[in-house]
Amino acid sequence: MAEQKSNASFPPDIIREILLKLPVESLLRCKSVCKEWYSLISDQHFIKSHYSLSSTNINYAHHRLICNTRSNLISCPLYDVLFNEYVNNAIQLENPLQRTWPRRVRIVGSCNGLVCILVEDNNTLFIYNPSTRITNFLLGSKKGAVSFSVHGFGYDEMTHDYKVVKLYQTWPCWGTMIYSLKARSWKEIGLFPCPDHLSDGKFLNGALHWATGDGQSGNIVSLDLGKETYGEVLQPEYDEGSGYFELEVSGEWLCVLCDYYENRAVDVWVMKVYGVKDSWTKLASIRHPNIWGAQIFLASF
Amino acid sequence: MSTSSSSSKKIVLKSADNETFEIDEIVALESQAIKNMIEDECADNVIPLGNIDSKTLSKIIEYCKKHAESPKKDDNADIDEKAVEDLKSFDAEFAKVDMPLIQDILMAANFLNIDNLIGLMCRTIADRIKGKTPEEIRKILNINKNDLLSPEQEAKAREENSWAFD
Repeated sequence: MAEQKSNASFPPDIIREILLKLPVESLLRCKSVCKEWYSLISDQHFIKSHYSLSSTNINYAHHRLICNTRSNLISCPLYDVLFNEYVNNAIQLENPLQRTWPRRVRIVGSCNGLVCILVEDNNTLFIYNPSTRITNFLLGSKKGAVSFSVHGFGYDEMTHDYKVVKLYQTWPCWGTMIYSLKARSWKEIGLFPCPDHLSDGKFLNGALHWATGDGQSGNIVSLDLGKETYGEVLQPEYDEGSGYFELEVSGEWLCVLCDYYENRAVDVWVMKVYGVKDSWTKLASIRHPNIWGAQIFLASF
Repeated sequence: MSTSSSSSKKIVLKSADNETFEIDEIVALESQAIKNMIEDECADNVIPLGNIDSKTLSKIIEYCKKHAESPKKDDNADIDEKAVEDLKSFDAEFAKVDMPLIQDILMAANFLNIDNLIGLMCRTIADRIKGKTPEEIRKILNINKNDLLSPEQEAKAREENSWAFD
């Protein structure tokens, strides 16, 4: 009876609701279903809504953990890492360079589901969407090409633009270049306000952040990606004997991991209200064996 | 059709094929559209639903009854897990019907503005087209053949996302 009935066609709102519930791989196939679906799925608002639903899924159903091994980028479902005993469906990310992965690749950062990757062998930078496998190569910059450099990747809400920042060593300080994905070009801004050793920047609240120096004597320098100006985030009051410290971002919090060599412990601090010094809270103090070369890191979701 | 004399207020719904359904007002209130009609005092004794047949309407009433009886999530933060599980398995069973009926329920739920049911039906359809080829999806949803991409457009769409078709 019902089988013979011809189906009414759904209003666009309903089709949108259905499509929002599909994983990206299915969506890409669905683009070929008809014109209406093609334009719905290609629409920027739809893409944003789909990302926001996936990224706020409380079961981490669509989250993937991407990490680099020596010469590979591996991706696996975050759910398996957190809740299953074994991770048995890790896949190697397809190489956008169309040849074997170079010897040294580094994940600079990730933002809105995109990953910024640096090929250290030849200083090639690209932004990669692991869901659609679309790659956007950055044009090279001659400036600082041969110097040691660190990077940062983030999104500028004001201009709806992705930006990559490159800090290159120009003794005794760091020069700063900003790449705009929209403009497809680099531009130089004022020197980075700190001469110390740096690692890649962490993106939070529209700004990139770098930890400079050691513990009490160090700084957290920020670079607002909209205004393209430097700032400082005040640090927590560490205990005596604080040494090397590292920045991380966990959800909406800026985190500091502070190492105490003598006590063989790492303190985990989080800034619960961005920019408010008094909101720094010590979450944990983790004792660790003092192994030379061991790295501390915080996995944050 | 006779009006009930029980204490709870009754609402009568009339389907496209002129079948009448008497239900408790609390069940009818699951539909935001009917709720608005009642609040605006636009609802007569009988609410005619000229675009919903009796088969679809009886399924919708079954759904609204169950959901009206269940404790609401936002009412009480610590409602017991069992009620939540019970409603979940009811929803799963409810969705086990053929595609044309699912589509009819979805259209009707959209007309009556029953949010949870719209969500359930959209999820069900999404689950059934997940992993299917464009041809299969067109068949399942009876997509209008006048709206197909041109062969060139389709080739381009496939080429852009060739890996997804593996």
